Amino acid sequence: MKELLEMLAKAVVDEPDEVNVTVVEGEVSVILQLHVAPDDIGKVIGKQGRIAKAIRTIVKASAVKEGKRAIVEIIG
Amino acid sequence: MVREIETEGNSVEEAIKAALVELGADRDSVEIEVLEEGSRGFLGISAAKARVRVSVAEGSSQPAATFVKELIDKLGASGDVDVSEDSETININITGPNAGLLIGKRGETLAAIQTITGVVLRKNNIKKKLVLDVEDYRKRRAESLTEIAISAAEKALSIGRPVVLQPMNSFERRLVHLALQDNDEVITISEGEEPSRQVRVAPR
Repeated sequence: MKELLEMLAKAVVDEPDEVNVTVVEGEVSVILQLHVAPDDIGKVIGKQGRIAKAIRTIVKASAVKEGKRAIVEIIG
Repeated sequence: MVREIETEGNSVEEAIKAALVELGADRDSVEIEVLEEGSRGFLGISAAKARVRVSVAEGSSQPAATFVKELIDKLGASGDVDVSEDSETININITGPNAGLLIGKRGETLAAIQTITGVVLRKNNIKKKLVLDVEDYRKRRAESLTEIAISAAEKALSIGRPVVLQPMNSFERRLVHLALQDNDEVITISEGEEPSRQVRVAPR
């Protein structure tokens, strides 16, 4: 899930080297904190949150497969 | 399609790196021709820049196909990625045993994958329209939406009242509007807020 989120974020940002994901594992939920370069926050969120929503949807699909709930936090 | 650029740098290596960044390609997929070796000169005197010509031979769909394959892999799914393109559209169809996972509820995962893949294309300066499909889900959904639209119109006319369809995303609502645009007896209106926006089919 971590690798998946990293890959999705790297695909949309200008500075892929600045992409970093930290994982906080809970019993039912996994919190994935996505760190990107400050200038890339807009890229990860997109107009009206379109990109962020798409990223969350894909990560959730992966989480469901593992029987978990995933929460993606975007941090600049 | 071949994209070709010429770049300069203080060394051949630097010039190549600049070209790769500009093309968004990796070294294995390009052809490099050194035009000028360049020289440091002596204490900066008579120093000459290195120049290279770098070309990348690819269908414009290549970055998208590579991305989709990697994404499927990272999702822990397996599937074949079939790509075709014409002058306006890139079609990517995924087939395999994990179709359900890749489609998601009401096609939402499929739509999300298409959104991100679209960003990848635009980052590579490709302006073609992208249509991503899993096991012809969109095609089948389009057919059934057309049927739903037509039967909703028939029902609206027979009961003389509007029929409101289930919530749909913009792509699906558009298909309903299109299916009934030539029907002079009904009008179609989208109403409500996302994600529960619905099409109302009403007698004229």
